Amino acid sequence: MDTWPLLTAERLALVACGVPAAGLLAAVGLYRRLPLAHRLFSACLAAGSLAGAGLGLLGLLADRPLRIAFAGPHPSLPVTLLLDPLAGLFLLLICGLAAHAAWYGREYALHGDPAPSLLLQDLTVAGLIAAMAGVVLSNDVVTFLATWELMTVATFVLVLQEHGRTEARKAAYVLLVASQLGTACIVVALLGLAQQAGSLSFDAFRQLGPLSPALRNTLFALALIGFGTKAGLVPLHVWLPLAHPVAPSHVSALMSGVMIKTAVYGLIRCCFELFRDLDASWGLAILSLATVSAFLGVLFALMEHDLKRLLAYHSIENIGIILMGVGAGLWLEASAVPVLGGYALAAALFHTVNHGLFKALLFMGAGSVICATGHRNLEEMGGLLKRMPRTGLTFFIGAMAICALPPLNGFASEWMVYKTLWALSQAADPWAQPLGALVAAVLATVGGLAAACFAKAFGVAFLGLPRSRRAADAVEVGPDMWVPMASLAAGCALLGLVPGLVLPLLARALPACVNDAAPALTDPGAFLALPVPAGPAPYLSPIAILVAIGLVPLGFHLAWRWLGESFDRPRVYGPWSCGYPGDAPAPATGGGHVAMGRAQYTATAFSQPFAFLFRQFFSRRKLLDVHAKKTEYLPERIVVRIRIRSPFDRWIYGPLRLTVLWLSGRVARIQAGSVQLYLGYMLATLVLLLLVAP
Amino acid sequence: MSQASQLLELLSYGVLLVAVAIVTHADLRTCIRLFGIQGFFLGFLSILVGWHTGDVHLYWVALTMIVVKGLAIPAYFEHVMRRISVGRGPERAFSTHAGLLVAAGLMLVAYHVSRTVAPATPWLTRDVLASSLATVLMGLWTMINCRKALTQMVGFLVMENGIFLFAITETYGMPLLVELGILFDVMVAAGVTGILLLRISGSFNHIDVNEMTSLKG
Repeated sequence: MDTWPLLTAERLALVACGVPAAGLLAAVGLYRRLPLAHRLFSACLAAGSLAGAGLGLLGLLADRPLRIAFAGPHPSLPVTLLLDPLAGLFLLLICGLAAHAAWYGREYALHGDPAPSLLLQDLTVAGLIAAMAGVVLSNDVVTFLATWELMTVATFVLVLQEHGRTEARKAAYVLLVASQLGTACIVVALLGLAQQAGSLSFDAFRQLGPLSPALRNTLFALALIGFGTKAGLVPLHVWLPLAHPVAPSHVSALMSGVMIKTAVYGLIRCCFELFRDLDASWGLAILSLATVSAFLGVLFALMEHDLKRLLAYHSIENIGIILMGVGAGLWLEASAVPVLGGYALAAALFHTVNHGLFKALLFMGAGSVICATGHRNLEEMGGLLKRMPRTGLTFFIGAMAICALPPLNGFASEWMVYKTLWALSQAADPWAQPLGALVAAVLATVGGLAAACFAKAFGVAFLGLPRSRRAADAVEVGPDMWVPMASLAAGCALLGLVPGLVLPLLARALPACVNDAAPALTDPGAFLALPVPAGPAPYLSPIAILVAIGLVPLGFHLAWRWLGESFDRPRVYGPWSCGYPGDAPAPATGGGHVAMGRAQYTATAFSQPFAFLFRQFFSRRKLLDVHAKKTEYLPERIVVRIRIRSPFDRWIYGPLRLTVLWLSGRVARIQAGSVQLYLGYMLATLVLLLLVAP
Repeated sequence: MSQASQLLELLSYGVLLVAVAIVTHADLRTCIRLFGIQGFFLGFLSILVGWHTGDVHLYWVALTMIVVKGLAIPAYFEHVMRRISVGRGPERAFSTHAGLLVAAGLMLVAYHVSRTVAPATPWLTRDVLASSLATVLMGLWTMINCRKALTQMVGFLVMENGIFLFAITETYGMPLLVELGILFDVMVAAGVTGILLLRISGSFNHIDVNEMTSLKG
């Protein structure tokens, strides 16, 4: 029993590394036939990723953690890897999604005119996957930071794929700056721990005695800022909605689905393993930030009409939901209720997995739509469900899952997060209970807004009539693209229907200090009942829920039947009606169809009530441009532009940017480019040294 | 103080005085000729040190010094000057008064520093040391103050002369091979500068280094 996992793990690791490497060699050999080389390499990458996922599963199931050490660049810096159940869970998620993304990329990356640098892009994707796997496996500071930085660099290169566009260059720059600042914080936090432990190995950190409160709090705050930046926690999220949409869609799926989860992984390791005896107030801090993230993320998503950026904002929202679980877990663990803490963390891990599945699915769906229509703006789509039924169906499943609608996986994990929030009353803090209720209320609002957002996204993109010529001409994507999406959709449904399948696995992945919750999770009834150690339980009857789930659709059905009377009347339209053309046959060219499509309810119109309702949270300005030749009373064209600025840009990052620019301008003056000035610096330095030195 | 020592001091003052003249003088042709005079001064100084110490190789150094720095380089620079027809526009970044004030300040620094450095023998007085340091600083100041690339080269060569003076007062001169190597370097530098200047003026029609600020990134 002790030997076979090791043996198999070695073989799997060999396949995970060897197959993509062999694929790369073959692809380089086939360089002149670029599409073939790309397809070959992507297939090898998918196969290697599958092997990596197997390795992750093995690590999750193994009885004892697997440790590997290589000789590093220096005898005192060995590369040490640790495959314990938590790392195994993340490795499984990363590699499983990477396999889907790589397979999807086989066709996606070839649409339009594939750039000659396509193989370089593929290689960078492989590097990104390897770096993410390295981050979760690394067991010492140097390996962790090296893979972490490799991940940043790979992301930077992938965001820059369309470097001809200003948007992409700006996004890449912001990404780089944000990542570097975040990494700087992580470096200080980890090296501070290393200094205390006297070793760079994470194992030494785990055995570290209690630190002084001031040092512990400072280092943890730095770690939180660093990981929070990568995760996209508000207000450190600015890079995320810029960078995720401009990368190729299968890369966006990876970035949003798993790349930002490595930060969640780092934060969990920090909260529950590396830093011991954290104050309960850190749990409160994480919970508050997470709540703000979830709420603002979904709010900005609602205002967004760029499909991919909308999804990127939803990533911020979901990271918020995940970190709600982490924060609540930390709070409960620090309040000496480790069973509930473990349950909260399990909820967070479950939502991590689920968000990975449906967010990757949604980004792939967005990619398919972009492939077929060439548009990213929702207002240019419409009526795609008839033209792209497979994409539409899978996107719909993903949208339902992200809105936390039963019976899909998003519901399952958000349900666990809700229960965690109710369980906060068990924390020692007297105001934990009202706060938990408040956060639960916010989470409910977030769910409602997410549903509104995806009603908009799905409705405008897939229902109704085409809003542009290219949307009218859209055709379904090929099987290389829809099969991975279908597979992910099946995963969403499976995890939603049978959450009991994964809960025992999640229980294995819990860190040692909270794994008392494991029995509660492996119990089949755990999903519905709340594991409360003692006292009156905040209880919600499973039967009541089932009844409610049954009654609500029934109510809808009856209401539909009743209202249907008025809907079913024949609708007659005049030849010049400005409304929908009804069932009129589409003109052969599709042109008239499009013109009629313009008269539909738009995404902007859909989100306008919400924009009005939540107007305090962003500055929304409507700009009216009247283009007229002779007199403005006879305009040729009227353009309405709505500009939405987030309060963070306006109050934090805008002034910050201006200050930095002003300071840089001041500093740049010493480098005026004049030879004499430089010689003058030399003279001044020389004289100063001559005067000071003796 | 022996007469030889006094003579040496006098010669070093001459070197420094020429350097100060180069700092303040506006006309490029005069600067080049002044530089030639400095070369002669250094040559005589080497002969004096050689006579005093009995080192024969210093005579050779003196000879090459006079030939290269006193005659060849000034002649070459005048040739370059004629070829590129340097205008008589404003030549210095600072006014003559400001330039002289800074030069005076630098001389104070040099004298202050020279108090902490011990000369090789009592025969060489502190003042010689101080004037050598001051000459180096004058050369650097010339490079900062002037606006034509050719004058900057002259400033660079004045610095080199100051270093030569320092070396000869501290160590009675370096071995002949080293001296010849340095001289050769200087000659090559002067030659390269001349060629470069011809190219620059051919491309841009001027050799004003102020215009180079637009080249920064």
